Amino acid sequence: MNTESAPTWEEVAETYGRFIYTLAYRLTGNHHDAQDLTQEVLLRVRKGLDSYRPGNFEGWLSRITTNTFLDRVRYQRRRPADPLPEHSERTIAGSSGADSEAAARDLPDYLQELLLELPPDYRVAVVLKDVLGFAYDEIAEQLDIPVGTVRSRIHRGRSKLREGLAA
Amino acid sequence: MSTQRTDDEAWENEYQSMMSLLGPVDPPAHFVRSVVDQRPQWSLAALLAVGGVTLAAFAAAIVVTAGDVPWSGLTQSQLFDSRASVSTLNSVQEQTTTEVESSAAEEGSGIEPRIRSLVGELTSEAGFAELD
Repeated sequence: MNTESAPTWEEVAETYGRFIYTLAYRLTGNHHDAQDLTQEVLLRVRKGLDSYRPGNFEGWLSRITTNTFLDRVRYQRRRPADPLPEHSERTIAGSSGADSEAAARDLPDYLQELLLELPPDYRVAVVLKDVLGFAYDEIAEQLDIPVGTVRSRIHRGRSKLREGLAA
Repeated sequence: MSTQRTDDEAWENEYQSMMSLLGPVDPPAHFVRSVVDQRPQWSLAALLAVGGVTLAAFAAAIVVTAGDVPWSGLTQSQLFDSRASVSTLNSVQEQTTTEVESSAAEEGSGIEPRIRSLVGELTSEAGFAELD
């Protein structure tokens, strides 16, 4: 991960935009919510760039993105009239009888669907570890929770994914 | 026990290879354009433009109102016009007051004796003492 000084906002949008968008998409599961989340993250980044201290910049962006995502989840829970992000663009994997090529093509979508079925806290931990490749201690720092809690969430998240894949 | 461990390891390997399929996601092109359009420089340029227009308007206002009475919001000519209007209104008010007072005095001088005579007639007819 980078440990350089803070880039400008334009550099963030151009260089790290894809990173933020990927995380946002993996957490929300559809492009519409991913775009909203990315927009909000970039706004927060713009406000917070001045206070950024040189260090792990992707970790800092990841922290902002996951916090923004979890804030939204909590907000939507308080307002049940607003539906939680729909899985509008996901594609269900083919049946067990589908040919291997189609199954391989659909597998990422199916995995994404299973990720969305995880509780948000587990989903965040699994995505940061298994999709983006952050270390346990980095995730603990980003989420401001003990490393043991990170390990527990990832373990439980993986177990649920395993159950889903076996079903 | 050993079989379980082997299964777990096999699953772990399979899981990692599956998760590696979840690669980077490219945002739609229109979204990228909209983000670029929100660059801070644009906001700064807009801010500078608005600030420039405001300063220009302020400077123009200072030039236009120079020599006038800024706190009143009036130019000198407007102020003189308003003073003339007030003066006219004052004279009209004085004239009107005088006319009303004299009119009332005239009416009062004619009505009072008439009332007195009517009351005297009524009281004498009724047999009461005449009022002062």
